[in-house]
Amino acid sequence: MNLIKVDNVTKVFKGGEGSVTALGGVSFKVPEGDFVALMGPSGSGKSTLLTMLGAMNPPTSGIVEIDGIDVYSLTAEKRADFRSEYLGFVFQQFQLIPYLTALENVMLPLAITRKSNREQIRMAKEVLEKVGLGGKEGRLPNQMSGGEQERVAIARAIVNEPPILFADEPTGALDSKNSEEIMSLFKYLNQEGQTIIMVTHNEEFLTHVKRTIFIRDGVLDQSRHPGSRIAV
Amino acid sequence: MQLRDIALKNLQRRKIKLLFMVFGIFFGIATIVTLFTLTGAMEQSVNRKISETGIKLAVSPETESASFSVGGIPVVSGVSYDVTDLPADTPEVIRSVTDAEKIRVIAPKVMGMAAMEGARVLLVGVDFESELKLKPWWDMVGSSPVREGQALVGSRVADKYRPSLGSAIKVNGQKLTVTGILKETGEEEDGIVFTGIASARKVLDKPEGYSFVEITTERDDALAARVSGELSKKLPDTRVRVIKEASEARQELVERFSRFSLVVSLVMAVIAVLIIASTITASVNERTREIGILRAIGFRKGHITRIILLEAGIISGISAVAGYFAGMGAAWLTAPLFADFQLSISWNPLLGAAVLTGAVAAGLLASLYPASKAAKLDPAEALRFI
Repeated sequence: MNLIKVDNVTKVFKGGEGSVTALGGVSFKVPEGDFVALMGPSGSGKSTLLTMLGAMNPPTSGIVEIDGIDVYSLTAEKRADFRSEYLGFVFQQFQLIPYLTALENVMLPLAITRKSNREQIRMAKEVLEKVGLGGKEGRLPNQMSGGEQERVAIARAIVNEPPILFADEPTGALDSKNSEEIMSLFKYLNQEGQTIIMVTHNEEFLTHVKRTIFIRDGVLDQSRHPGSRIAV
Repeated sequence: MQLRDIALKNLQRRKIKLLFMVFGIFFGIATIVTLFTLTGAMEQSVNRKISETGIKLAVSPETESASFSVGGIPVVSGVSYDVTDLPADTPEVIRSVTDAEKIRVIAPKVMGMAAMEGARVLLVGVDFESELKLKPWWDMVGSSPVREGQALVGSRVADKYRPSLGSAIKVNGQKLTVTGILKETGEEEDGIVFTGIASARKVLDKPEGYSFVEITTERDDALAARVSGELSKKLPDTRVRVIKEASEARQELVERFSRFSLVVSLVMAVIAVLIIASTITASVNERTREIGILRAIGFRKGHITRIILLEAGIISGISAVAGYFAGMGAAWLTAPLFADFQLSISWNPLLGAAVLTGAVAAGLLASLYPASKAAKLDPAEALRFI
């Protein structure tokens, strides 16, 4: 079953010096349980596509459908609810809230649910354990290594058990050892059934993903889609 | 984790900024509370005094050649004390008016200049029981005379002649024993020697008549006018006037102070609102990325607004509580500076509740713009800061 369906989406930014086409008619599908890498050079439209898939950036035209829901037919507030329920985000540079502990950072998405504090703590601890940070719940971001912060960011993204996990350059700020560990963690989560879409520059990690979407100048780069790895 | 926890944690991380903000609002609230408390106590004091003293009338001879005042107010300006006196039956005539039962005090006085150790002093013979009812604010060392031949001296007289309590002073050659010394009033009373009416008659050689009579009626302007009119008819060649009481003059002063306090309070409130608005706006600008993350993970506009308003509400609430207690403390400390009013500062829970409600409401109002700005932040746009 296709969890994500992107149908001929375009994004045109209008500015003072004319318009810029960030995405020029992109279509692809992502089935449930997939692990997709979104690759392309800087300025190719990856981040625009990711925020569009993340229900934060309406396309100029085309449809983004997630779990059968036309995301941009929803109001802005309904889209916020949709993000909370369906999507998890791992941002570039971890983006943890510096004055909250690891546990509190992970609990953030639960703060807007009706779950009790006790339940929130239980869920956050469980997921921190899952990403290998058991016992480090009380640490502030500046008391953790880059790899640990990335794990907290991943825990925060999956604590709500969202069907889809988006990751934007999750290894961009990590050394090779930590990067490898994070990719292994993603692979483990995917093996447990988590659908993941990850933006990355690093072709070394393509061995961990199931499929790859190459994008260049706002369109899918068919020349970089060898055979069955094309996710279209 | 609740929204309030996020607000509290954010406040805790910026302790110095929080401290400055709280102090700014606290200072404004403390000033407002101090001014309101002092003004309220002054109004209470003046109203109490006005209610206690009623309306004062002065009955004096028509002839005028000098002035005399009591309590700082020219109660009988123009009374001539060396010429014509009021008839001896004046008190009885006053007691015979239609509304006599509504007259609280009749205080006749005999007065004149007398020689004391080579200088001239004003000697006033009074009925001390009535006089003390007229002037409840009199404060003295020792006690007021209880029999003839005794005297109560004003502070200026006491400073000049240094009489000790129990010693005798010679006025026009007659000995008067000093039983009390009036504490400084800042008025003409400071330069007067008070004694009993009989003693004054003897010293001044005025066997009968009165220099003037002070009357107080119940606090009813119509009553005072009726009594005044009736006395004018019954006592020809006299002037009967309603005297502007010292406390009424003070009431005007309090009203002015009250208006001044209101203006200062408004200015303080506007400053506090501007402090909150600018600090919260700056805080929202600093937290663009953070707010973007919250929006991206599903926080609604309402959630962001609530976090910002909670922060403002907490700051305003803390400042209001601290400001209320500090303001009450300042009012208590400064009350002695308004000795004339004999202020009694009392805890006013209603003022406390009003300050808390007002401060939180002002804090929320001041934060509406930055909160709305934060809520409107486009998550995709905010994440570009990453």
